Order: sequence, then structure tokens, then C-alpha cells
Amino acid sequence: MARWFRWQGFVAFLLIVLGGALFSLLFIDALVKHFIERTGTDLVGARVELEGARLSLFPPTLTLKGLQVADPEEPLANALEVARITGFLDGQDLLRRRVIINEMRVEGVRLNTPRKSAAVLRASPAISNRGSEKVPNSEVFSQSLRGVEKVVEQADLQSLKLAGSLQAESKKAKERWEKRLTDLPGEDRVAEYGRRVEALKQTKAPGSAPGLPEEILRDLEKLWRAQQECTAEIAVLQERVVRLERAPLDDFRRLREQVGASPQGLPGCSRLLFGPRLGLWVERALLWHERLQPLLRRVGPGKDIVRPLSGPGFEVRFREQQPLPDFLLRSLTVAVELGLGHVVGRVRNLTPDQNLLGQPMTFAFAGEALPRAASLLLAGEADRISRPTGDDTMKVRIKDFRVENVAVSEFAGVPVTLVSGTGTLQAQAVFNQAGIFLDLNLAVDPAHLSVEPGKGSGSIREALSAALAQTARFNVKASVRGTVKDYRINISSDLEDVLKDAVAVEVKGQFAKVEDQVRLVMAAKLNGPFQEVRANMEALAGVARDLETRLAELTELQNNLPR
Amino acid sequence: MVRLLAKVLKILASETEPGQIGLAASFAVVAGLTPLFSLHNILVLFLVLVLRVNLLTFILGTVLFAAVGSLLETVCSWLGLALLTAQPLERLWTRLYQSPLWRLEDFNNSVVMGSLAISFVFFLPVGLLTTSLIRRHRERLLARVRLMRPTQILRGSRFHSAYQAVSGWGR
Repeated sequence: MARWFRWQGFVAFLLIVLGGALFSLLFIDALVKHFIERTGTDLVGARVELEGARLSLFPPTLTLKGLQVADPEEPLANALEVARITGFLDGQDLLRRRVIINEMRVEGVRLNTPRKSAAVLRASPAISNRGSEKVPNSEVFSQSLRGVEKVVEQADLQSLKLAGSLQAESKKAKERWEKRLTDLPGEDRVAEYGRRVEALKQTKAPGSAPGLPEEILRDLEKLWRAQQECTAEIAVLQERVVRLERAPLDDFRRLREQVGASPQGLPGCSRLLFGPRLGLWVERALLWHERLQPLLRRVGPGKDIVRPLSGPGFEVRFREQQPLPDFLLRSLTVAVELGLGHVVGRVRNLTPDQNLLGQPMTFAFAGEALPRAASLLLAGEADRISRPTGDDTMKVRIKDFRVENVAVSEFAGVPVTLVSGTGTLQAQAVFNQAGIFLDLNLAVDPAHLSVEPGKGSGSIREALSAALAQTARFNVKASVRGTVKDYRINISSDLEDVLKDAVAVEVKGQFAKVEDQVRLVMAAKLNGPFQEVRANMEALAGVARDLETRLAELTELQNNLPR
Repeated sequence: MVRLLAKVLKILASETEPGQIGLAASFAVVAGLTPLFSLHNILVLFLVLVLRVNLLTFILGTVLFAAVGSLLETVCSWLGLALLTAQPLERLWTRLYQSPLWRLEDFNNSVVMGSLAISFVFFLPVGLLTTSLIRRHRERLLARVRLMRPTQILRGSRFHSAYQAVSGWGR
């Protein structure tokens, strides 16, 4: 036996195991801290830092202090700061490699706090650009009165085009008919027929001028056909002349819109006012929703094959008598310090294995009589039980919240600020396989909007600014529809009517100043082609009259033929 | 300090029978190829310490096979997944899955299972091959090593004297 066994090895093994256990006990807190920081950083894409972690075994309790989660979009800001987290673990399940936290308390949560050093590790998508792209654009407010002549010069005048083509066609028709007129029986021919008819009358013998009636009849037919064609062509050209006469009016309307601003484009003002900010919120919400996905559902190549919470490879799950997730936070109580006041919330059943638990993750935050709002309610559910893509719903209602000095947006080139106001916000969102469905309603009453003086001197801009400054209340409705990669934001607001009226008055006044000028410039451009068309039409009318005269004379000769 | 180091080296270099070195190499396959901080490696450590195997070979072998293991991680994961999802073995895995001890072992992780399977396959061949190589080439290899310049420098050092004093060799 002694040849194969090294009894001192027992002692060495015990020493090593005891040493390992002692090391773990001494450094378990540092290991937990390191694990949380590393996993959190991987999840968020920005640094996650902890001031300290403490794991007690009897009873199993995890305490975290000073958690800072950097904002991936803002290098010098924390998205989240938590003063203290206390979690009570299930000791028996730890032996099964399961982290089951029955109760966790999160205290002193603050959002969007400044930080001293930059902590963004990987570039996140340019959310500000992506969000604003989803808001349809409008240029109406950036327009100012432009030089009338330049605009008319550059304008694609339909009347000028029509006049040009009619000028050429009427000229061609005139030349063609003038030439054809020379080929048709003219005055000489009529005079000749007259002489022959007279001679026939004197001889009083009908057979002495054989073929004369037939010749006259043939020429009559030629003239009649030519007259028909000429009249028809004149009618067609005349119709185009009528259109040409109307065309400058249409052009004038178009030019009016180009030269000055038109209130027609104003329905887009809500998008300009609220679109960029809303677009940014939606984009940020979608990014965080995407980031939190690993906490809600684990992915893997098969139904029971999932990625482990940490480490390489895959985990295969087998049937259990009492199946439980590998990680489960049964109840999380959160106290958040928002700008509106102190809000308390509860999150239930946070696990990446909802299909095992059979219950969705729910959350509800509420606050009453807050320093800056009458009430706040935020509630929702993330359901991953049957579908990995999930079925998430959320409702928000903030009643009578007070705001001060909130930058709304750049509007007409000048920043608009909500100096003070009391608002009520209601929103509900559904996020599932079919896409995103978000409806938002914001009512601010009273509202005091301030508009900084613009850099330019556009009077439309000034009118809009004045109208905004006089606004006492407003409502905004927004909806988001589509998929994560392709969604549209539709925004409407009663501000549109206010601004539309202001602009309409201003546009009317402005256009009155330049109306005559536009008419003159247009007339100067159209005068030449118009005159030539008229001259050509006059010449064609002359051809038609000539044909009619010849027809009448020849008909008279035919009637005078002796029978 | 030098004597202490020499004593450690003596322990590490003891048990130099070919079979003892071969068995150490076999254990190194398991400890090196599979994730180091696993439950089964505590058993391996226990066996390595309790059985008279060459510790130096075990340590060096573990380092060597750990390097190989990191290169084979994808293969291990693929093999482990194939074993864990094999229909005939499902009942066995399901039974083991109910036990806290086996859950601690993390046997249902594809990398753990795959690397364990590979190390079991190579356990005996590596042991036998190492034993056989040592038996065949020990004298020749030892003579060559003794003639190498670094060995000669080491033999002339104070450390060598201390080592001889504690080991009793070279008398």
C-alpha cells in the first residue's frame, strides 16, 4: 500500500482545500464585485462600477454599495446611480448553481448624474441622428422672401413652356396653310371659271363647254375639304391658346408659394417642435430595451439549450421535478429619486428563464403628492414565456407635473424653451412580434413658451416666434408605429392651428408687397411668345377667311351655270 | 531559503518511476483540458497528492494541456453538446441533473462535458505512452541533459549542492 499511497498527501490536500476556502472567504467580496462589474459592463457597453460588495453566508445576503452605471451615449454621465442594494439569496439553490434572490431592496436610485471620467467602452449607434430621421422634415420655416426676379427666372413656368410649344406649332401651321393656299383654286381660277361661264351663257348651248361643271365641282370639293381641315386645326390651337391664357394664373400660384411662405406646409410644425426630442426618447428607449434583453430571455441554439449566465459553451437543461431558473429575482423594491420627487417601485420575477418560471416580469412605480407632480404611475409587463421576442407592455401617467426651463427644440432656427408649465402625460406602449405601438398624449396648461430672437430677419419667423410666445396652453399627440429598424413617428398638436393662422396673416401681407412685381416679371417673360402666337393665330384665321371667300365665289359660279 | 526551495523541488521531483510519471501525465490531461475550477479537479488534486505520482510532471502537464484545451474549446463545446443531447443518454443526464453535486460539477455545460470526454479518452493512452517513452529513452535522454550547458552551470551552483544534500542522490 505504502508503495502507492502518500499519506502526507492527505494533509497537503486538506491544507490546500482549507487554504482555498479561506482565500474564498477573504476575497469573495472582491470576486463578487469583479463579477458584477464585468458582467454589467458587458451588458451595458459602458463601465459599471461598484464601491463595494459584501456576501454574507449566514443568512446568504448580498450587499452592494455605490453602484454606478455609465451612460453609453454620454461619456461624462451615469445613466444610473444606486446608493445601496441588499439582496437575500436562497442558500440551498446556490448549491445547485442557481442564484435565487427572494427579496432585493434598491435604495437611493438617481438617474442621469454627472461623472468625473469618461466610461463609454463601445460606440453605440448615433441615436440622435437615427431618431430625428424618423420625423418627416419640413422646410417651410426656414424660407424667407427671396428675390422675385431670381425666383421667376429659376421657376419652371408652365405658361412659358406652353407658349413656346404653341408658338412653334402655330408658326408651322401658318406657314403650311399659306403654302397650301397657293396650291388651291384661287382668284385667277375663279375669274377663269367666271369667263367660261359667261361664254357658255352667251352661246346658250350647254354642250359647248364640256366638263366645266365637273371641274368646278372638283375645285369646290378641294376648297371645302381644306376649309374643314383648317377650321379643325384652328379649333385645336384655339383650345391650347385658352389653356395658355390660364397657365400664368397657375404659375402665379406656384410662384407665390415659392416667393413667400405658404401656410400649407404648417402641419409639419409639431414635428419640428417636438419631433427631435421625441425621436431621441424613442431611440434611447429602444436601445435600453435591446440592452436589457439578456436579462429577460436567454438565447441558444435549441429549446433547452441556452447560453450560460457567464462562461463559455452552452447549458443543456433537463427535466426537473421542481424547475427553477438559474437566476431569479423574485421581488425587487426600488426607491428612485426623480426630478419630480421620490418614487417607489416594485419589480417582480426578473429572470432570463421566464419559460421555466411560467410568470412574466412585471413592474410598477408610483408616487402621490410629489414635490413636482400630483401623481406618477409607471407600470408594465415583459412577457417572454411563450415567445422569445416577447410581448411587452407599458403604461405611464404623470399628472400635473411642473416643468421649468425645458428646452423644447430648435424652431424656425431659434431655440424654444418651455419656461414654465404644468402638464399631464399619458402614454402606453406595446412592443411585440408585430412591432412597436406607442401612443402618447401630452397636455400642458398653463404653458409659458419663450422664443429667443432669431438670427435672421425673416418676418415669417418673427410671426411664428410671436405666436409661440403668446401660447398659453398646448396639446401634443404622438404615435410610433413600425419595427425597431423602421418606425415612423407621427406628431400632431393644436399649436399647428395657432401657428398656421399667424403665418397665413403674415404670408398674405408679404405677398401683397411682391404680387405686382411678380406679375410684371412674368408678363415680361411671356409677352414675346404670346404676341407671336396671337399673330400666327390671326394669320390662320385669315387663311380660313380666304378659303371661305373662295368657296362662296365658286359656289355662286356653280349656281350660275346654265341648266 | 535555498534549502527550502530545494526541499520543494525534491518533493516535486520524487516518485520518478516511469509508471508514476505516466499516471501524473494522465491526471494532467484531466486537470489541463477541463476548466480548472471544476468540482472534478478537486478529486484529481486529491488523487495526485495522495497517490505517489510525480508532481512536477503533473504541474507541467497541466500547464501544457491547459494551453491545448483553450485551443480546443470549440471542439469540446461541440462534442459536449452532442453528448448532452444524445437521445440514449438523456435518462442518465436527467437523473444526474436532479443531484446538487452534479449540478455543482456543471456537467450540463457543453465545454465541461466535451473536455471531460476528451480527457477520459486520452487518460489511459497518455499515461501508457508517457510510461513507455520514459522507459525507452530515460538513460539516453538523461545523459544528453547532463551534457547540456545549462545543466552543467546548474550542477556547479550552490542550489545543486543544497539539492543533493536534501535528496541524498549523487553519493
